[in-house]
Amino acid sequence: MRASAIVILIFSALLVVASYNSIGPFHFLSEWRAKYKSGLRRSVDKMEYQIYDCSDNLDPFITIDFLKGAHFWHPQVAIWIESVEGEYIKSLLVTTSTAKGIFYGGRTAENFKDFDQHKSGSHDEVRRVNALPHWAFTRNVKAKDGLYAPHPDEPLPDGITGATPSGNFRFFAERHVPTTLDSFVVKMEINVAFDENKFYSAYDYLDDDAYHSGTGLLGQPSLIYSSTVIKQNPSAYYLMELIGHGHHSGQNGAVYNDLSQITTAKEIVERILVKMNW
Amino acid sequence: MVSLLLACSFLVLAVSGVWMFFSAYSKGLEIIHYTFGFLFSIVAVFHLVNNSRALVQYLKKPRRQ
Repeated sequence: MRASAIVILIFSALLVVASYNSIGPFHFLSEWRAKYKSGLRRSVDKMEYQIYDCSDNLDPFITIDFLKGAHFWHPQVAIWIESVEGEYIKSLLVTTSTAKGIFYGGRTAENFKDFDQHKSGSHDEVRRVNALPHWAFTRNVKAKDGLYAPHPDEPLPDGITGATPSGNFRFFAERHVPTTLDSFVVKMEINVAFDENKFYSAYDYLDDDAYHSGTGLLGQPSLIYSSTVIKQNPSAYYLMELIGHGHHSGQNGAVYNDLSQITTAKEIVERILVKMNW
Repeated sequence: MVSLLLACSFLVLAVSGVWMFFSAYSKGLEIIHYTFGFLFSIVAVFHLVNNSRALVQYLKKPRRQ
């Protein structure tokens, strides 16, 4: 073998060893590459995250980062703020059907997935029983028909109303975020229709008309998540915790802590993060 | 010498690439791969320069039937 070939083989071998062990200039090359890549702008895949931006880029603002779970399907959602004593302060986001009190008729347990993908304005609009009872009773505004869910004649303002999320979403808002309180509670109530299980099916609660006559409430009740935000912890992320479920037919605003009869509904949500920028 | 270095770089690049595809992430392997990637690119330029006349003739000359 020629001497030049031996030199090249030794050089290549040394280069492999030095690279693998990240020695000297290879370490700096690696560091420089990491810095370069971290500085690259990456566009957010809009198919992956739905954005609800109610902010004007002013501090303080709140961010809620919602990652869907395996049993997520076009849920009704309300996000609101309470004092630590449980006093309702303000709604941040309510999905349109609940906020306007209008639901499409003709949506059944058999057709709801196809219905949700092809729904149009041609369906009858139906007043619905309370899908988010804890939020509605905490808000404590009685509609003219006696229900606590908003009535079509008295809908919530557009500023806090959003389309039903179709997947993961991020929500930004600075309006209505309490700045005078040292701590407050952020709550989310979420309900997916037709998620029946052996405890909440068409054969249960036979004497409860609201449970059986509602348009889409049949199934497991709403779930309530909560997190306490503390002002002294200025840039922390808070993981919202599942604290209970709502009434199965929306008759009261209680939080039922026994989750033993809740099955797939626990997988509507993978995790919810709250961040407060003061 | 250039050709041999090019062959060595290619060999290391190919082996590290296939290895990275099938194995768990390794920072060392990644550094080997992109170091030899740079080396291969640089040496390839020298290789093209050294063999430019033959390459041009090859491209110009019509293929014999």
